[in-house]
Amino acid sequence: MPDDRELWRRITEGDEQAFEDFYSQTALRLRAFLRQIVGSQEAAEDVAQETYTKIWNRFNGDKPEAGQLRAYLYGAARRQAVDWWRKQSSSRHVSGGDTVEEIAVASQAEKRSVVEDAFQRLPAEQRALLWLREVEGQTYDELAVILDVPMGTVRSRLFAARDALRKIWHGERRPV
Amino acid sequence: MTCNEAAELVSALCDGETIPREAAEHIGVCKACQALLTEYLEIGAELRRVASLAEYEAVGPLSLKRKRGAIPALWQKGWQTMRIPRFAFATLVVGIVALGLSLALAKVHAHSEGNVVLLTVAASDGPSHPCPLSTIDKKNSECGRGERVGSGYLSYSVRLLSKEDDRVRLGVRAEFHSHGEHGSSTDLKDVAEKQYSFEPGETLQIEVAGLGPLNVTGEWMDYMPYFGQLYLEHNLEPAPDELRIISPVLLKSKTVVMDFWGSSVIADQKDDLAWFYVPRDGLYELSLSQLPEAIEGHAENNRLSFTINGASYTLLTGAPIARNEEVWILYTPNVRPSGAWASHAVIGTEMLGHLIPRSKVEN
Repeated sequence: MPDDRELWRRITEGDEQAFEDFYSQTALRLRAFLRQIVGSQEAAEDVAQETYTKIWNRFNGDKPEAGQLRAYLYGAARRQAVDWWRKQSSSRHVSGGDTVEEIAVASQAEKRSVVEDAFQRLPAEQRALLWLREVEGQTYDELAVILDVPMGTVRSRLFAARDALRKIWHGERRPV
Repeated sequence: MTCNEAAELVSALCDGETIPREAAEHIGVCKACQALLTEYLEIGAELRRVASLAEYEAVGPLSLKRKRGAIPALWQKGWQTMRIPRFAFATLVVGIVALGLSLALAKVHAHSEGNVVLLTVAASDGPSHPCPLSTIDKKNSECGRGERVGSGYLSYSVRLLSKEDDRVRLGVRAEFHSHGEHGSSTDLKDVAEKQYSFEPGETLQIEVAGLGPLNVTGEWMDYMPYFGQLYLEHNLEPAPDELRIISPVLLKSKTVVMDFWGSSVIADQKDDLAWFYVPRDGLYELSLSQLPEAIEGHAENNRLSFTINGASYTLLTGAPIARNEEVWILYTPNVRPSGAWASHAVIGTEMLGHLIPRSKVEN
């Protein structure tokens, strides 16, 4: 399997096979990640497709560093998910219904563990961060790329996300 | 250190990060912090368990709305059409116009007192194209064109060698590639020139190997019909979806980058591109539709302003450019059209999505 730099070179040169390989290797996990942010399998599939399409169609001269192609992908997906939320928010608010967040949570009728249930009640940004760290195993370096924030901010945001999840989980404030 | 102060570092510890000695000592003896660490680890494990369940669901096929990879493949099919209004061999400037423009030439004077002979050149299976040649102005004594004919690609050039009473002597180079790959075409200067005596009013048939006859007719005119070359009426107003680049001059700040004197191009379909290539600079593709990675330019009357890498560019043209104010410019440095025209300034049109065949320039 080519390294990130080689893979990116092939993709930017229009190597369709290279991009399809990249897709095959990453799509499953990316979709699982997106599902945590957008709340449904269908929406995750849509956002994932949009993400890959955008990467394919406009590279914007980006050159991911070696080992950071995955971070680049997740960063692009996160931004796409934010756009998706924005569009959903405006359409939902126009119709005068519940907030998007509430709808997304309510739509999850599947069986969930207590932690998963609490997780779904976190703000989307915190869900994304925790998922990337705990499930995807993204390093602080990679998370800084994905979130476009300094490394120090990654640590504090991760703590804030864990703390928030824990509080929801227990339904009470953390004892000190 | 307090538990509050240590809490963020407990989270960092979960992530495999090293933490300050003081915090490590506190966590080592603090049951509350150890409980917090355990909880954080459990949360992580539970999330991974949930994720493992989700991973068994298959992903759908990749469905790209617009496959970038398709573009270079289409480029290889060659240019849609190419026009060479002047063969000024010192600085060959190749102009290309779109097909389908309506013909409405100015009235001509059909007598030999004129100093311009307006030829019409047509392959038997292709459209006809005007080729005005001056008998007195060397700069305007040559024309040429490249275009698809059927599944192949026809290139030709015609130059007026001399005038003898009512007749003119023409030098013609023509070549046809049946496979239609523009990139494999050869420069016409490598094709032997054949000479013909021609009187306007007659039909001259020029045999082109692999294609059949190229039919040439003509009539005298007493002026050089600029718009005749473009099959345009005397109407400077661009149509709604037209992008007109008439005899453009590209300025970077106050410096002339390229003067495409006399060469013009009209993209007359909404999704068509107009483009020009500047040797040792790069390729500029213009569209009324937003192109991926393109920058937005501002068109006002006969000038298009845009900025690339902080540098201000102005494209000055001989006529209004578009009705739209927004024109998108995709600049690609260090590429050039592939094939015979690679070393020349070129201007042309192509359908959006095809762009033009190009190759990287080795600096």
